[in-house]
Amino acid sequence: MSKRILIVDDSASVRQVAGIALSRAGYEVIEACDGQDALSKLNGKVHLIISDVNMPRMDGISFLKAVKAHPSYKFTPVIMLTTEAGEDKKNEGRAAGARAWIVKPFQPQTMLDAVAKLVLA
Amino acid sequence: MASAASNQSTADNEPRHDQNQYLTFMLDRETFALGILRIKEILEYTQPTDIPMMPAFIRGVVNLRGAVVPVIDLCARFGRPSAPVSKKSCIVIVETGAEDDRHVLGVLVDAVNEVLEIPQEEIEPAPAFGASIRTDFIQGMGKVRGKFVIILDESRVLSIEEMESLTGALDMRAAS
Amino acid sequence: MMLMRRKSTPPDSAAQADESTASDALRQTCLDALPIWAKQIDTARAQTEQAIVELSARFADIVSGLDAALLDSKDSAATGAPDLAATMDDGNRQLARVMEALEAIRDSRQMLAQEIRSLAVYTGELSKMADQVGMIAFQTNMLALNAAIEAAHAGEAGKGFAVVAHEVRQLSNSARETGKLISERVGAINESLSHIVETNEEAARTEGDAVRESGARIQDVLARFRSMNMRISQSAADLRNKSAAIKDDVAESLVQLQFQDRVGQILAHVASTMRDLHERCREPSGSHDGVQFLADMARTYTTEEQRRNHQGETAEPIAAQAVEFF
Repeated sequence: MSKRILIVDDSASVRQVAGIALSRAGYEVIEACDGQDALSKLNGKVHLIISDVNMPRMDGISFLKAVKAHPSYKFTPVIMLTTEAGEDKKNEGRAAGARAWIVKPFQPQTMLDAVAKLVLA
Repeated sequence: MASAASNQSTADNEPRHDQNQYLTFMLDRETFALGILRIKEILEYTQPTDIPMMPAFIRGVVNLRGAVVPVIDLCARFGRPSAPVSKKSCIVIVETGAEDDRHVLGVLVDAVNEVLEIPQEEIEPAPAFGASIRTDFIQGMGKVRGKFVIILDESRVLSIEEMESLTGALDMRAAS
Repeated sequence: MMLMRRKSTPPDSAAQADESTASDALRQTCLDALPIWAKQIDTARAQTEQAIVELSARFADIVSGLDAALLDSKDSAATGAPDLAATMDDGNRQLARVMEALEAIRDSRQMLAQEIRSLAVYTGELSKMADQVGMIAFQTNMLALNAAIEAAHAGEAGKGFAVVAHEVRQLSNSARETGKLISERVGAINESLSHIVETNEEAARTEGDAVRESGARIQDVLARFRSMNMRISQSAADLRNKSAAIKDDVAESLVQLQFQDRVGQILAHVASTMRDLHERCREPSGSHDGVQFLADMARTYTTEEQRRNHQGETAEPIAAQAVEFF
C-alpha cells in the first residue's frame, strides 16, 4: 500500500509541482489550500505532511501546532516548505515540532529525498 | 577368268573333297575366298618389318620359322585404300607358283572367317564387268548361304612376275 | 500577511479640514491613487496566478502523458524485443537443422555415387574378362582354321581331324558369341551405372544449389528482419530518449513556475501595505509615524528578496536550496 502524504499550500502551482513529483514517486497525495482546509482533511492514516508557512485563514505554524496537539497525528512528521528563509521563522517551526525546512523554490528531487528520509514506516 | 585346273597337277585323279574347300576372309567389308590347298597356315597379325623402296602393296616381311616372307596388302593390290589393322587382322600364308618355282607369301586380311566347302556347281564364272576388282583376279563367284563370295585366283593376284615388274618399275623410278 | 493597524483612523472630516496646503493636495492624490494601485496589483497577481495554475496544470498533463508513453514503450521494449530476438534465433536454428538434414541427404547421395563408381571397377574387370574370352575364341578359331587347313593338306587321312577342327571352330564361335554377349551386357550395365551416377550427380548439384540458394535467401530475410528490428528499436530508443528529455524540460519548467508563489506573496504584501498606507493617509497629518510604518512593513515580509529590497540591496533571484533537517 502506498504512503499517504498531505500537501498544504495556498499556491496551486506549488501544490501541483509537489503533487506530481510525489505521485510519480509512488505516493498517494492529498492537497489542502491552507491550515484550516488541511485540518478538515486529516483523517485516516497520513504518513507525512508537507506544509507552507504563509497562508490565509490558518498559517503553517499554527497548523503545525494543531497537528502536534492532535492525538492521532502528533507523531506524523511535518516538513515546512516555504519562501521563508529567516532563522526566526525556522526556529519557530523547529520549536513547534517541524522535522525539516525546505526553502522555495525547491527541486522536486530535494523534496523527495527529504520525504523518503522522514516518511513513517 | 577361271583356271580351276591349275592345281590339278598336285592332286590325284580322284576328285577330293579338299579341292572344293576354301578359306573365307574379310577385306574391306567384303568376303573373299581362297582355295585351301594353296594355304599353308594362318598367323595372328604381327607388325611386318618395313622394307624400304617397296611398292605400297608390300607391307614388309615377317619371319616364319627362319624364312623371310613378304606380306602383301591385298587392298593396295586391288588399288583400294588400306584398311587399318585391328585385333582381328591376320596374315594368311600362301604358297604360290609352279612346283619347281614355289614362293611363300603372306597376305594381310582384315579377318579370317571359316573353312568351308563350296561344291563346283555352286561356283559361277566371273562376271565380264561390274566386279569390284580386276576380272582376271577372280577365279569364280562362290555361293555361300545365299550370298556370293569372290574366289580369288591366287596365281594372278599373287603373280610373282607381275609384282616383280611393278617393283622393278618402282625401283627404276626411285633410281632416276 | 495583513499589516497590523497601529492607530485608529480619524474621521474623514478631520482630514479634509487641512486641505488648504499643497501637501494636503498631494495627500489627497495619494488617498485617491493608493486603493487603485492596490487593486491593480491584486488584479495582476490574480491573473498571473490563474495563468500559472493553468499553465502548470497543462505542463503536469504533458509530464504525466509522457510518463505513461515512456512506461508503455519501456514495457514493449522490455517484453517485445526479446520475443522477436528469440523468434529469429529459433528461425536460425530451424534453418541450420534443415540445412543439416539436406547435407545428410547429399552425403548419402555421394556415398551411393561412390559405391556405384566402385562397381564400375568390377564391371571394368568383367569387360576385360569378356575381351579375354573373345581373344581366346579368336585364337581358338585360328587354331581350328589352321587345323582344318592341315587336315585338308593331309587329304583322306585328315578327314577325321577336319571334323574335330570343325567342332573346335563351333566351340570357338560360341565362345566368341558368349564373349560378345558378356561385353554387351557389361556395356549396358556400365551405361546404366554411369547414367545413374550422372543423374545422381545432377540431382545432387541441383539439390545443393537449391539448398544453398534457399538457405541464402532465408539468411537474407532474417538479416533484413534483424536490421529492420534494430532500426525500429533504435528509433524507439531515440523517441524514448527525446520524450524523456522533453519530460525533464517540462518538469524543470514546472519548478520554474514556482516563481508565481513568491511573486504572488510579494505583490500581495505590496497591495496590503498600500491599503494600510491609504488608511494612514486619512488620519490627521501629525499622527503619522513613518519609521514605525516602515518597521511594521519590514516585519511582515515573507521572502528574502523583500528584506533585501527593503535594505536597499539588489534582490538576486533565489536558487533552490538544500533541506534543513531539525
